[in-house]
Amino acid sequence: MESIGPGTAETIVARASGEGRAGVGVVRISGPLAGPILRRIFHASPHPTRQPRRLLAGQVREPGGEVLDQSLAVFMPGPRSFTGEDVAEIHCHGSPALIREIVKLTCSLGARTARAGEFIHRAFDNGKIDLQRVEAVLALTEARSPLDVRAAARSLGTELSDMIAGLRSALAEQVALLNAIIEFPDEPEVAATRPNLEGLVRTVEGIRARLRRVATQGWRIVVAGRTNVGKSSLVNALAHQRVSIVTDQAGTTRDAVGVDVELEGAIVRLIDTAGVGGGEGSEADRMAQQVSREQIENADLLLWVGDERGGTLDRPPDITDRVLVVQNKADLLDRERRERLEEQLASCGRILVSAKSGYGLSRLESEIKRVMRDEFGPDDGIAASDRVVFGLERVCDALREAVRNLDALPELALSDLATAGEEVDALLGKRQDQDVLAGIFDRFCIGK
Amino acid sequence: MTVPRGTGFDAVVIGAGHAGCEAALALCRRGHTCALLNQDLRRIAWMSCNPAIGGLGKSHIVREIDALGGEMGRAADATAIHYRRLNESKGPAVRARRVQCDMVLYHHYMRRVLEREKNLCLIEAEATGLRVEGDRVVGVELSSQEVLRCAVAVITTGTFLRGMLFVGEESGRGGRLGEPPAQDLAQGLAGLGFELGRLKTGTPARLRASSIDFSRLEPQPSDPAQRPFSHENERFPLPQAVCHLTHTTQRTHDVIRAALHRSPLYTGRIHGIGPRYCPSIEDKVVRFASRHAHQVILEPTGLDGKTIYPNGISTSLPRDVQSEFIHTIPGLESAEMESYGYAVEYDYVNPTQLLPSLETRRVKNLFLAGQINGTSGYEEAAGQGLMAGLNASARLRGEAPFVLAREQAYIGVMIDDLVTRGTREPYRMFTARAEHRLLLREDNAWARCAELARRAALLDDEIVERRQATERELAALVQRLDETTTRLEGGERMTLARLLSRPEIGIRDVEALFLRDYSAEALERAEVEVKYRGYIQREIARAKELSSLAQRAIPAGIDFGSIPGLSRELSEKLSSNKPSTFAEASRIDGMTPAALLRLSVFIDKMHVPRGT
Repeated sequence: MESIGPGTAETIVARASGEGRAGVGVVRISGPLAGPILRRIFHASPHPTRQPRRLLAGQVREPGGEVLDQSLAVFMPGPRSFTGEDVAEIHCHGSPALIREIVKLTCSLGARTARAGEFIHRAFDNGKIDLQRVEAVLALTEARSPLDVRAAARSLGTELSDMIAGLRSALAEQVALLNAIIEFPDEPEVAATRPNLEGLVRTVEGIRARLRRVATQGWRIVVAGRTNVGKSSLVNALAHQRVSIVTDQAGTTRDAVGVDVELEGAIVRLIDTAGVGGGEGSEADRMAQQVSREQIENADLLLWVGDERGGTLDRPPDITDRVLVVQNKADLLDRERRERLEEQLASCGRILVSAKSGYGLSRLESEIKRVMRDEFGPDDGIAASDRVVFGLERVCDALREAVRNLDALPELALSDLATAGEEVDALLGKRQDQDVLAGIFDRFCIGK
Repeated sequence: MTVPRGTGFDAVVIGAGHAGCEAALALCRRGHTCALLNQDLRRIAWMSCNPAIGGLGKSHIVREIDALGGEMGRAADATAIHYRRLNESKGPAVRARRVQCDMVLYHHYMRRVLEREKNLCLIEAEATGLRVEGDRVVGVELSSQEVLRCAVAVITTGTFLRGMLFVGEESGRGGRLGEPPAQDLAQGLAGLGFELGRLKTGTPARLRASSIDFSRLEPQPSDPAQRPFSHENERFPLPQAVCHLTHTTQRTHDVIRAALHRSPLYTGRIHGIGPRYCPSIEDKVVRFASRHAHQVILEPTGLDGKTIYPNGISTSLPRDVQSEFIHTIPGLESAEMESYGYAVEYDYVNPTQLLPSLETRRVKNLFLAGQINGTSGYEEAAGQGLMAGLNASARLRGEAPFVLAREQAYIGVMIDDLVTRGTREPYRMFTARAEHRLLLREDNAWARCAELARRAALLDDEIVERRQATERELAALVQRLDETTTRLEGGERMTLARLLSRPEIGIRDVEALFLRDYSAEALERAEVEVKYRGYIQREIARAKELSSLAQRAIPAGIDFGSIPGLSRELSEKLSSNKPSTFAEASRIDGMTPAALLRLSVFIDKMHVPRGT
């Protein structure tokens, strides 16, 4: 079949819903042909192109007239659409084969299949969304925990963008003021900028404190310790399921075993490891030891587990400083000894638990949460990628440098402010940095 | 040289102001015959407003003019009667010098220099039109009906092109107080298809010094640590005069406010756009209503000390109001006016109609320089005049044009701004206009311009050799600082360069220990080089990054209207400017990084074969 007609931009189409069978599948079309194509393949009265932004029922039909599906469709004329172009969406039944047929049909009418991330790229190109919010969409589609979903949603709102944009104009104002001081040395009344610049530093620190870093892969909590201290029992207890086989025989766990656990709304990956210092001799044991060591080195948090035999002497290895030391098997102690030990342990920041009875587990969980908050930012924070977090930190560094240079070498302070301004521009994607853009857009799967 | 009437010249320069003098001198010194026209030869290189040269950005231009072999720096040094170093407490890139000159001596100096040039012919005449054959200029028509034949022409008419003077309710034709405008020439330019605009500027009254009570005013003496503009000078030859500081009062502002309805600025009779950075006193009173006083500097216009230029109260209010408000200023209670302030409105040619050589796109071999291109300031005019003269010469010799890059010189920044962005208000140089402010300093003007200066060949070999020797001395000194280590009190060893990069250490501290045999200039410049080094490297990296994108070509024939997400305003500006690189596109007024990104994405897509 012939194309309906040439457009100034190509029209693209893709499945917008997830892979596999589902109740509903969504096909999204964007570009100048979105309306004409929808009129050709979707039959309804009234037709969605006549009543934009309303989800209307109808039939998807092949050119021969054969009905492919009873479905819903909506038409959103640009520029008030996600991509800023004309957009049509068909909400059909969620069969992969059906969706493929509809996409094929659309392509036969002049659209082409979208490349990965192309819809949101067009939204960015058309000025519908800035780079920080592109990442928010990404964070939302990748969110794996209730906390991440909410943080991403906050990020998708304009609050962070607005804060960064506000920072940008505040910076521009200071640049102008400082320039005025330099260019008009005879003007006695140009205001001092030091308090303003220091205020900007505090503003950036304030924004930074409100951010919650997006963990692109689950946060890794590695549970390690001597053999037979009950590491696997602790993992199973924290996971509320049986992850590892538990026996009272030392060295039962040989390979690292991982499980994703929701911990007060955040997703963490708990990794059980083979005990250190046990089962000398066999090749398999040595390999298990090697694996444990690597896991510990790559841990975001090490839970170093000991038991009553080690007392307070169980020392974690000197590989990482993000450690929580846990003493297991509290259930083996009578109440008096338990209380005495607890006091002793608390004084050196250790936690007494029993994987078996559940004693102390909630305290352990909240300790883990505390460490995560330090690392990621507040639970009610705004989701931000490492690009944004580290970018803001560089902005802050440049501003501090500007404050330092201000009196003696204001022209260097201006150079610092220029650096800060570039970093801020980069955060919003207002800079010519194709690599940054490519890096972000590449992470989108097709149709998003 | 006597006037050989009826014969031709290689070049004719119209207007002997600050631009015209530099243009004519550059042409003659490169071996061309040149006629330099002015309506009144007693007004050559006249300082129509404040007789001062220099200031932020401006002094940088004068240093560049001097590096290239122009005359302004030498003329200013020879006639300076007051000197100030600006931003001394700030860093070297933003330090600047400013002098006040004896305006009559400045004129005499420049006239003598012109008269000494054997290829130059000074003609007192008014140019009324251009003779154009085919696509190029071939002669200049005079009011005497004569035609001066020429191969190239440079127009530097300042505020004279269809000039109108305004004082209160009165107005009349004029290019400067008491001088007629260039009326016919403006019509000639319009007739050739040039698009003309209107700009405005103003000047204050001049006061009789003997009528001022200086005893109550704070004196501002000339700075004794003199640093002349020219690389060849060490002191100013003339004795130095004293300026005085005073200020407007609440009563001054009341008088001005009560008379606003009589100001041509507020009655709408002046349409031209004035300079925002140099507002009239009535503008200041209206726009900064909360301020109770504005500074006024009383500057002598000559060594005789007879006339005072009151800096800060330029105005076009009626004469009676001018007298009244001036008399409310401390020290000026019984001041007598030698002349009254006025505004001048004049035609300019929007400089986007020029090539980077300052040659017009429309008429070949025709060059424009100075206020006719929308700039303000003697220094800006002279910088353009020099480049127009060099480029007119390059045209005569069939050589490549002389173009300074933005990272090379403020002159490069200025001309690039003018020809790519145009201007809607009088364009004044600021250091902030340069992306590479730390690179473009007064101290390294020669190093930045040396390559072009050698090509221009306006300087004696001996001078060039002396300047090169200083560069070699500097390089050797910096190397020494990098290679020599010293042990600090704590036992730590570090290079002198690292020691010097500490904020609290200056070159004098290091000099006392190690560097006895270097010149003061080399020591001072080495300190700057070392202290700025990290930042300069960052600027160079930034410049490179920008220029790699900047040099990216924009294919011809692109349909800017079809670029998604581009505002209509920008796509229209792109369509009319037709930039050939991203550098040019980025300097279009109102251009945003986001818009450039869209342009870049659009071009990317043009190169992707369809159907993949």
